Formats: sequence, C-alpha cells, structure tokens
Amino acid sequence: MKVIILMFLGLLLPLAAAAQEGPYFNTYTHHMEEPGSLEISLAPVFGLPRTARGFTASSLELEYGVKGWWTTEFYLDGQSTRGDSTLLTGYRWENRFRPLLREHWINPVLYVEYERLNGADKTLREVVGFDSERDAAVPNGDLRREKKHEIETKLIFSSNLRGWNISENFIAEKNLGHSPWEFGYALGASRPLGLVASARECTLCPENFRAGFELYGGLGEWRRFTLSGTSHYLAPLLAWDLPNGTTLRVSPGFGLTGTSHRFLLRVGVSYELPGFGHRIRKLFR
Amino acid sequence: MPFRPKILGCAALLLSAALALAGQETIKRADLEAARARVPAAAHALENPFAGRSEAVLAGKKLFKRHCAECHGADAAGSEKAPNLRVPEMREATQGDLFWMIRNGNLKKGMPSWSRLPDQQIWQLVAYLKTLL
Repeated sequence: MKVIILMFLGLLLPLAAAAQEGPYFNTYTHHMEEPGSLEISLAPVFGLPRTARGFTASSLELEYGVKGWWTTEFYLDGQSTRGDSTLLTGYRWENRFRPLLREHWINPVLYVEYERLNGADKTLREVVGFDSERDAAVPNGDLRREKKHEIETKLIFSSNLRGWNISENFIAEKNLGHSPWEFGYALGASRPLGLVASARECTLCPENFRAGFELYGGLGEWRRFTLSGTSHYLAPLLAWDLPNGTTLRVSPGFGLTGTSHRFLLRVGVSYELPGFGHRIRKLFR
Repeated sequence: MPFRPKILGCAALLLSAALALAGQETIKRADLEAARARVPAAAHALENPFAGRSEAVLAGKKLFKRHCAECHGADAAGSEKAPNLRVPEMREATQGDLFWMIRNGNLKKGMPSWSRLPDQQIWQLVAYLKTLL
C-alpha cells in the first residue's frame, strides 16, 4: 500500500500549474478541464439553518479532462451535523459535453450526472424542486435510510464578454425510483480583478483574483413549475489563483426565502495536475 | 430485470476510468496549418493592442510558462503532447490568427480553448509568442 501511495505522490510532484478551477461553486461554465489534466478539490459548506442544527458537508472532487470537449468528474460526499453524527452520504459521477467546438457569444454545454446518495446529503451542490431547510431538521439516522438514485441533467449556457463570464444553468433532476422531475437554476457572473497580467511573477496581483456572485434556487417540479415555496440563495464569491496551481475560493451565501437556509458559507481548495493522464499511460507502456 | 444501482454505479465508474485513460489525440504540426486556415478573415486582420510593448512580452512569457509550457515545452519547441510552435506555419500566422487559435483552441485535437483568459492576456501571450517565432 505504501508503495502505491509513494508512486502516486511521485506522479504528482513534478507537475506544474495549468488552467485553474473556475470561481463558482454551483454554476457551471463552458470551460472544460484540459485534456489529460486532473483537478482535485475539496469544497466544504458550512450551513446555519434557522430551525435545524448547523452542519458541515463536503465533497471530494476529482475532475478529469477526457477530451477537449468532454470533462468527467467524480464526487464523494459526506457531512457532519452538530450534536448528531458524521457520515458518508454517497457519490456522484458527472459528464459535461461541449457540442460546439468554437467560441460563440453563447456557448452551450450538456451535462449528465448519476447520483447515488442517501437522504442525509447536505452538500447543496444544486437546489431543485422544493428543497428547503426543513429537510435538514430530520436526524441523520432517519435521513440516511432514504436512498436516492438520481439522474441530473443541466443545460449550461456560458458567455465571455469584456472580461466577464456570465453563465446560466437550467437543472432537471429525477429520482429513478420515484418522484417527478424537479427543476432548478443557477446563474453566475464573475470577472478577474485585473484583466492585464503584470510582467513579474506575483501571488497577490489583481489578475490572480476573480470576484462575482451566484444566484441559485429551485423551480418546483413537473406540473408544479413555480417559484412559490422554493429556496433561493444569493452568494458573492472570491477566488484566488496561486501560481503553483492551487485555487482558493470562498462564498458566503444568503437565503432569500423563508424556506432557504439562513446562511451557507462555502470554501474550496483545488489543485490542478496537468498531464496526469499522460503520466499514467506512460506507466503502462 | 430489477434496477441494480450498485452495478450501474460500478459500470459507470469503470467506463469513466477506461475512457479517461484511453489514448488522446495529439495535435500535430499539420493540424496547425489546418487550424490557421479556419481563422475567419475578421480575426486574421486583428491588430495586437500590446504589439511592441516589452512589458506585455514579459507578461506573455509568464502566462506561457503558467498555461502553455506543460504541453508545448518551456521554449515552445514542443513535446509528446503538443507540437513545436517554432515552425513556418506559426511564423507566417498574423497576430490575429494566433489570438483566434489560442482563444478557440482545437477541441477535437486536444488543444483547449483559452477563452477563460481575458482577451488582454491572450494578446500578451501573442506578443510573447511573436518574439519566439
């Protein structure tokens, strides 16, 4: 086992930085992972509901660029609720495809995800249907009994304009066992603090920071497509790209409706490993 | 047949791993000429607002090291993953051609789109590349 771990670390050490993680937590853009690059991320969310106990939920994310137009990502989710328990809640596997191979004013991306989670998952990576903070009030022991085998699809539109990225996601999610289709949305806008790169190597230059906001929430379900009774969040965000390939992100999210969690604090750290696939393939030649 | 989420999940993971490790197409020198031929006339004629500015060349060098050197090599002479950029096809490309090719990439052949960078930074990269070619 130690040998395997050392081999894995050996693969990682010689690598340098390439493109880095986007600034958003919930919204997807048309920017795909570079082919052969692996990105490892941790993105915990700290939740403060009005009526339920506070919680911390997190995803370990492994994102890989299969092709220039195809990115795949695997998530392992878990959560800990204050005064209750800590548990793994399941996994997700997503794929994103860019059908148009050139840049356009609006760039569409098709997204398909399979989720195998239990009801205790609180990562809130997307808000759909009538998701509400009341869901978090149930004890973990009861929540984990609910099994979710879901297919989630997203239609992603993303544009780059004068340094801004503006992205819109429309979400449709279906529990394969029962339940109707549930709908949601996520909107994001962000911009680097500096559009022109400075001539010297620097960590704190404005070009290394991106700021913006996200707005996301539920849109009801099949035959009950509505804003009424749904949760919505507004979340300013800040991302910092370090020259070594690490991206740090933070986003305080504020619930906008009575059914939303009062406050969600998201933080993220991700590290880009360019050429990972190439190195793995070389091992087997 | 009953629904078997465990089997489906495992199959999905295996498929993902297999495809992820499958051979990737590598952009070759011949693809550079083909990519250049696809540049629209309007982009071909674009002028680099940073042309001739030494600060921009230095910034472009930094950006190249950060985003491009992993595949194209530290001196842009190419690697197993991406072609040598110090070739006549690139030398003959206008700054507008290079801007368009970096911004759009060649997704089919494995060159990513760098539209995530602001246009200004792509022009800085172009200013640096032109000093190499």
